[in-house]
Amino acid sequence: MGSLLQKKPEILSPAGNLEKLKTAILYGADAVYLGGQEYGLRSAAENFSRIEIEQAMEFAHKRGRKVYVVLNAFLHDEDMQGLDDFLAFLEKSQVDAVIVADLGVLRQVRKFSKIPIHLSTQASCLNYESALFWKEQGVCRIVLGRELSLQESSQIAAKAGLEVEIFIHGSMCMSYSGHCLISNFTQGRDSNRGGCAQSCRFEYSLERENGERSQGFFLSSKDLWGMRALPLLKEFPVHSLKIEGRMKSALYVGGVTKAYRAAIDLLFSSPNLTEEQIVHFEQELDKSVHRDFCTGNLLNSAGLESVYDERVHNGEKSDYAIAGMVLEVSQETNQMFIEVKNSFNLGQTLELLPFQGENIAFQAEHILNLIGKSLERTKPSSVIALPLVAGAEAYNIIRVRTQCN
Amino acid sequence: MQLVAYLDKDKFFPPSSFVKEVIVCLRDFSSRPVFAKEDLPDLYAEAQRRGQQLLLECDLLFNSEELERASAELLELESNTDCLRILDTGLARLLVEQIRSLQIDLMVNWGNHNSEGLLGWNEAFGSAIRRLILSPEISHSMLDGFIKKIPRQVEIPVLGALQVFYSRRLLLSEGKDDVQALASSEESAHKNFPFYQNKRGTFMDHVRDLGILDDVVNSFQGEQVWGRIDLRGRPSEVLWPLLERFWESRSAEDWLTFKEQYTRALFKGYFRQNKSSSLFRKLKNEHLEKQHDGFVGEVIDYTKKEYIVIKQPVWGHHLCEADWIEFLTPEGKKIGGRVRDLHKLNGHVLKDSEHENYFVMKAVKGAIVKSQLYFTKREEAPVVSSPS
Ligand code: SF4
Repeated sequence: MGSLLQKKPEILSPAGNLEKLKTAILYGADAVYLGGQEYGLRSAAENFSRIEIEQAMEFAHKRGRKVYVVLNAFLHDEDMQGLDDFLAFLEKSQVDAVIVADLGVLRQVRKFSKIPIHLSTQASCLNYESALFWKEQGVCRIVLGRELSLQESSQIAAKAGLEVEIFIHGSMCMSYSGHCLISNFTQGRDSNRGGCAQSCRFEYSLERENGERSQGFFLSSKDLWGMRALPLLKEFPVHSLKIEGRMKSALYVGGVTKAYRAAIDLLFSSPNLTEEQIVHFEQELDKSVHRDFCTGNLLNSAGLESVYDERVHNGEKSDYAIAGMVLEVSQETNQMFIEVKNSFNLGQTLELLPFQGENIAFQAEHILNLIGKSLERTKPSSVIALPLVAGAEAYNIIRVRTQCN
Repeated sequence: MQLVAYLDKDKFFPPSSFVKEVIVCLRDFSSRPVFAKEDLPDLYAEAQRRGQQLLLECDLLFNSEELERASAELLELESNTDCLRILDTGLARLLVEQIRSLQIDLMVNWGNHNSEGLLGWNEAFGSAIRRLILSPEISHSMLDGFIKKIPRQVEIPVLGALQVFYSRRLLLSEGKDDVQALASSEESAHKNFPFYQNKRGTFMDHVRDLGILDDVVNSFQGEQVWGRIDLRGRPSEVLWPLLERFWESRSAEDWLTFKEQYTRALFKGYFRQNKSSSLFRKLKNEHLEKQHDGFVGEVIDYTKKEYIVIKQPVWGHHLCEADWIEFLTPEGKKIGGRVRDLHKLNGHVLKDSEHENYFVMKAVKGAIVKSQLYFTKREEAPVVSSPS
């Protein structure tokens, strides 16, 4: 494990669809994880058809990046039908690993393919003995439970001689992963097969045994932000840092990936990250949608500060929204063509996020539609032309400060 | 079916005539501890006197440091038990490594809903497993299937509280004291979910207790299937004699009498039918595979009477001017049309949409954003026959 000390951890980003996969990779993800149309835990996500998986592989492998396919549902016998065929397809497509939680699925993967297996966090692996058990079952990497600190995670990697992956950023389940049946037993939606109804985000009234009453969101976890834990990675190395959020926007995927990419690169090219640098990266994270945040268990055990207990649940918020994404640039007409995701006005200040380096603020001047008509205000789900900003490339994200803030 | 039941703090042992095993939950090892370690020798002696087996349950998860402590303590306690019931895979592995002859009951009750996985657990632990404790989500027919394939005892919950949530975090109070509360939400049809916190975490039960004893009483012969009864916190002295009567008579009336005395509402969970399976199939994303012949791309801009912009994946069918096309709107409506005025985003006229990620064409009424575009047919240019 010694070599790991000098090695940068992999940044693993979510890919809810092909566009987000490209965004993640172009903004610096070393690897992405995606779900096919079955067997994963995000039933409502767009997910990838087979042909899209092939495209994803081509795009990622051409750039030396990896693709992991999520098969982490706890399946019933009848759900297993067709898994062999899907695995054969994944193997042919040369996916770099599958992420599995269910021992039955794991055994099928081993039976029908030679695809490397990562153990999903859904299996709630929390100690080295458990890691050794899963290693014996054939996994080469473990996505550890979010209940562990960075130090504990690193020690498991060393003791079990396995790759470990930890969550570094994103929403958190309040329960141990895989240990919540609330959705299933209250709404018939099996959270372990992708149907979670997010019952933990509801407001609850609580009556304690001593008669004390309160009202709040005591089951709702704040989001995990691991930026502050990164400096510890040199002392407590792990192999992969996972960003949660296959259901989240391209702005989230691009913005968060870019911030962690830059932070990790800086950390491993300098003695350490300074407080000022950490604050700068946190400000960048703040521009992607999030709930209130905490460091989870990465540094210390998550206490009540990691949970919403107020009457006011801020929900997901950000001072910024995605204005659009660059579809194409035309040097010939000196324009960039933007798919508008959120409205913005003529003259408003926008910010272009290049794949690397400082973001570029510019004014939205000369907004044209595709028949050359000037627009005062853009509308979502439209394509417009703006004067080319130097350095802009296809898949660059453009964000806008939201007015209410 | 054989029965196993939890002991409550009143130390009331269920009748040994029909409950063969009792489960003890100790502080530091259980989500719902009712005894201290010091109680164990007496409880064990009493169980032995009554001819019942005593099982010590550890239904918690541990980090590496806690694991070693837990394992050492459990091995000390083990001599006062007949079997350990273990949830944490790592703990189970460590225990059976330390005592090769140890047999445990492995709790695979969170998930594990297929026979392949259950066979996997059985093979991985081999003879160290006495019994597999199954999920409360499995149905009668699933259980029927499992027992044919798995050469081990299996256990399901048949009566009592149903734990549906386990968190490491202390959610009810900062302190490590035990706390209990009832929680209700306007967004849920169910009221008064029991929550309990101890220093090991926060746990939640369903608002109703599971009650399928009447369904299984005549179903499973022999010693392979075990049913678990949990009357902790219920008036066990009143309920056990009624249950004993029911078990002997197996009559609907006696079950009804028992239910009338039971202090909480009972439900069948998923035992009769796992209804979430059909919902799961509905939830599974069935968005159209955009790969069949003729798929061109998706509309990303519709400017009424003017133009539409198409996003075309690499595998999309290419279009030429005057091709016949069809749109499938997000509502499932089909709209026919022809390709007119094909051009690039920057206005350059296109002969063919090949090599383009995006292209623009004349709007077709109703072909709104997110409509899928399909190629229908191409009319070949008329062949001009040369004069003979
Ligand atoms: S309801 Fe909340 S705690 Fe339960 S599975 Fe869903 S996200 Fe996790």
